[in-house]
Amino acid sequence: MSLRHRVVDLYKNLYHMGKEYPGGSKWFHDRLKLAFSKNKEVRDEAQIEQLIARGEFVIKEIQALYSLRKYRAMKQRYYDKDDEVMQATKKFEDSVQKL
Amino acid sequence: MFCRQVGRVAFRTASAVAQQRSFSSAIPQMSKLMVPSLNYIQTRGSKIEVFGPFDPPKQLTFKQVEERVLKAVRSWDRFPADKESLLKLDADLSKDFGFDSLDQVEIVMALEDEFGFEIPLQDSDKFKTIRDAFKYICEREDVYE
Repeated sequence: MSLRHRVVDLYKNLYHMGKEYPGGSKWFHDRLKLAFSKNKEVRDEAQIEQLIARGEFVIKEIQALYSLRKYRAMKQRYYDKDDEVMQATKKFEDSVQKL
Repeated sequence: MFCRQVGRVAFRTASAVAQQRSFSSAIPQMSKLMVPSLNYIQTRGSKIEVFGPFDPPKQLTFKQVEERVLKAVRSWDRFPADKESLLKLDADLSKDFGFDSLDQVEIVMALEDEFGFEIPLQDSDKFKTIRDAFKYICEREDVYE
């Protein structure tokens, strides 16, 4: 697979995962677009590899966030509400800000 | 055999009678199986009463494909609202709307969701106008009228 193909694949994956983002998909998609277009001038192959690896890391983070959210949703059916999902969402957003 | 069944029912408890009743109420459901479903709404597996026959998938027409393509593009979440009047089949994605390649990827994803098949990148890269995408989908879905 060519590098371009991999980048587009990564973008598709991230876009698809963002559709169910708890803070609204619009926020996520706008940021996603911004993050990709910020690096559109990058031509160095090693650097692109690095950026793809970073994107795959973000995918893992979102997966973890979603599974936590699902777990919490199931837990809330039995117990009182808690704000750990909110905290995790905030933590994820902070980590994205830092990237 | 019928007599035997009647005798058995007579000896059974009330719950067994209730069971028998539910069995007899299943008979009208059997006749429902023969009726083709017009507006079938999907339900959970345990609640499905009608297992078919379903309406066969209809052959799409050019007009339907056009409508659905435009609908998919319009409902894309970052579609610029002020450019809605420009939206037609011959509109150029990069010139008229100013979409870059990432936007184009998103539009292709919206079309993939709408029509339920995947468009490989080699093909979607060649889409210059919405009509290109429309033609590709028509070819893929064997639309001829």
